[in-house]
Amino acid sequence: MKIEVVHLKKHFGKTRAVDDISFTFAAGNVVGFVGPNGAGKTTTMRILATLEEPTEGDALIDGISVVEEPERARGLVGYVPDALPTHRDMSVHDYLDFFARAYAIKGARRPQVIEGIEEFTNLAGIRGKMLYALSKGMKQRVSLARALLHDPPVLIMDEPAAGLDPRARVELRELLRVLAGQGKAILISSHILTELAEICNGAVIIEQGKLLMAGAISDLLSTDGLRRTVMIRSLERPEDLVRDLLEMPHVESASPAGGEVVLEVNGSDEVCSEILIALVQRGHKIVEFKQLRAGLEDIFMNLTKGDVQ
Amino acid sequence: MTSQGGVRSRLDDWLNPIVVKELRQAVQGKFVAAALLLLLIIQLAALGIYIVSNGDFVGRYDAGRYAFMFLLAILMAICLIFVPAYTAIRLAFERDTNVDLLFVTTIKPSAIVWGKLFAALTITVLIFSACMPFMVFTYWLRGIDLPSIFVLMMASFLVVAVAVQLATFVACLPAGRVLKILLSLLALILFLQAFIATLSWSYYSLTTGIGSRLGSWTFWGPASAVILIAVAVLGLLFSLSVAMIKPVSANRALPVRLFVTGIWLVSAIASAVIAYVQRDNTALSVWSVLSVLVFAGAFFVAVSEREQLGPRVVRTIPWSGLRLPAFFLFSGGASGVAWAALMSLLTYLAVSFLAASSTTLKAGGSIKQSQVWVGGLAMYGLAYSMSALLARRYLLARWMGPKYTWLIALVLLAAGCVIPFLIGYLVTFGSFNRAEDIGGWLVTNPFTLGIGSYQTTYLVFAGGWALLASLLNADWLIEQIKAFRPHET
Repeated sequence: MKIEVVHLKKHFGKTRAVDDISFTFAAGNVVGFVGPNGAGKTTTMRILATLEEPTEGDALIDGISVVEEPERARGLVGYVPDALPTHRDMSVHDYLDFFARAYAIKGARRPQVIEGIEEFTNLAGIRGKMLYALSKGMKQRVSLARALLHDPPVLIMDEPAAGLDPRARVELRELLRVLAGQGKAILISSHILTELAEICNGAVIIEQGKLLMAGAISDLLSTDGLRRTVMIRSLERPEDLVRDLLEMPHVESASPAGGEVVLEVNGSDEVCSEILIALVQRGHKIVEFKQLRAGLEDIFMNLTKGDVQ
Repeated sequence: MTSQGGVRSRLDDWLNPIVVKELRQAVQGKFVAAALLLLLIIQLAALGIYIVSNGDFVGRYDAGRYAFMFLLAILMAICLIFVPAYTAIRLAFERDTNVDLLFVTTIKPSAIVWGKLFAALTITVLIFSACMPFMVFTYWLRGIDLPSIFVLMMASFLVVAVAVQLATFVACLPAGRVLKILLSLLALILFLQAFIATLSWSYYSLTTGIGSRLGSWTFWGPASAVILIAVAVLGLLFSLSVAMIKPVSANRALPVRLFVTGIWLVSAIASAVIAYVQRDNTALSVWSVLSVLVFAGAFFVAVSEREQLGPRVVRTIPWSGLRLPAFFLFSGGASGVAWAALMSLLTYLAVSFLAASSTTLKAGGSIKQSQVWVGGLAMYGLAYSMSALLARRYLLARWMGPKYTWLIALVLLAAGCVIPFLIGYLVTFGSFNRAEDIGGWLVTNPFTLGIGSYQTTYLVFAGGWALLASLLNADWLIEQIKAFRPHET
């Protein structure tokens, strides 16, 4: 199972909501879809869910085009939108039952499937409750449950953690971990990058409809041109170390922090190793040289400008 | 599982999910129940007020008839506004927002439209059933018989069904909110006309008597024609609604054109039989003009269709001799134009052939007029749509995509109907009495084909214009004809 987004474009009049985006991810991966507001995340996700048609380009889910064969693609995708169910006159169970019917889950299997999903998403206790009476976290669960009814191999989730309290977020994260463990390919957008970083093994970063970067988190972190934060501990006084460091190219800043020195390096892993060699050659007694891993948040802040079209 | 349980489970699976959902919501929600209760109260109050204010109804022999008409007016007013609006707004809401997410499921578009229609009709049946005791009660007031009540209720139900389907069609249109509101207002005007027509026809039927004619052709002949037209309109709107919510990549035009071709054939046979039996060509005339109106509209739709077929449609183009008929029936701008032109031509030929085959039918003056209208409307339809296509391709290409060509055609048609008329009116200011006085100025107006002295001028003009506009778009047509090739593996 592979999801390929190929030169995707979506224009709304003169606005280029999505402007030639291409990326790929495979089953078992949880990919964070990151970008400032108005970057084109929701539009891309709606295209993947077959709710929008692209102006140009295509998206293939296991080789099935969402443009040419949206009916087949729908069977493979579970979509959790940012809007939550708000029906005033429908219970949780009726809502899931309707969608189970719409996904052509028939006979004795339908109640079994619904019951299983209700158990999995912890909705069994509130199955008779009206949708409008649910909390945001519970509605999010209902939305996820609906998307999982037909057991899709791909999950597209648009801001699933928005507005959830810490407990609901932790529970959602646990659910996603289980789903990723089941081999589902999950594309998830969120503004809470620290949370994404904890569950994602890949990321796609876009801004103003354009792709800035895409790939495995580990690859993104090792990409050239990123700023790195390095912590050094030596046996001598930190001030001596700082003086030498500031004379070196690529070192943007260096400052003592407790008994250690924290420096900002503008360069790759290779540049960091060159700095270490130079320090040793100058006679510094280095005890610890540790690169503080840049998070998804650092990558995001480095790449995006926060412009809105 | 018991056999009873098995049957229940199978029946449950067979039920349309939309119907189950809509009816569950209707039952659990307060809106439908409140509307139904309100209707019953209004009916009860209306009947009470009528009886009280007409104290002499005991001595009258038409009190029941008037009371029935009064109640029917209330019933139809509510059913022609409440039920279509309830259905259309819910569907439009589901299409506009992703709250219901109906469109990410694997449910078929036809099941969605059918489910909406069936659920609306179920609510209509509920409303009609609730009102039936009041309606039947009017029988005791005299002046109306039970068969008349049932026949008029059935006819009214048919009108509501068509109205619901029209509202569903408007809700399915992939138009912006403003355009949808405008189209809804247009639909509301049509509903108002349907309301007036239903009441007028009901009153006329009651005064001329229905019960006594139930066993004769004089009732079943026109009744069959009305039912056939209603079913045709219902089917056309249904197939169009389904086409509207199908993915653009699908062969959306195929079911619509197959349905229209089928109903065209059935109605042609029916009207020919009626014409021969009654020795009157009215049925033929009505059939031919109604048919060509549909095909003239089809020209407008065709020029708004996609010009390049996607791989999905291309994969289904047959290699064999079926390729030619497939070209006429498949999605695509040129295919649509070719199909509408062919069907208009066949309609013209059918009327001419049927009229020529019988001296009685030929003798009627209306058949010649029908030929004029059929030929004229088709040529005007082609001329306007091709001119719109030309304008879109060469003048408005930067601002408008193919899907809005119909709008340009409508603007051109409106301009063609109004502007020359105003100029003619100003030129002949003071001496203008009848349309004939400015007949020469009305040459771009397809609805003035009835002006006898100018008919030849209009036909020659429309024919020349259609031919010229088509020739100027020849590259558009040829390119699509050439591209209509099966998928090469």
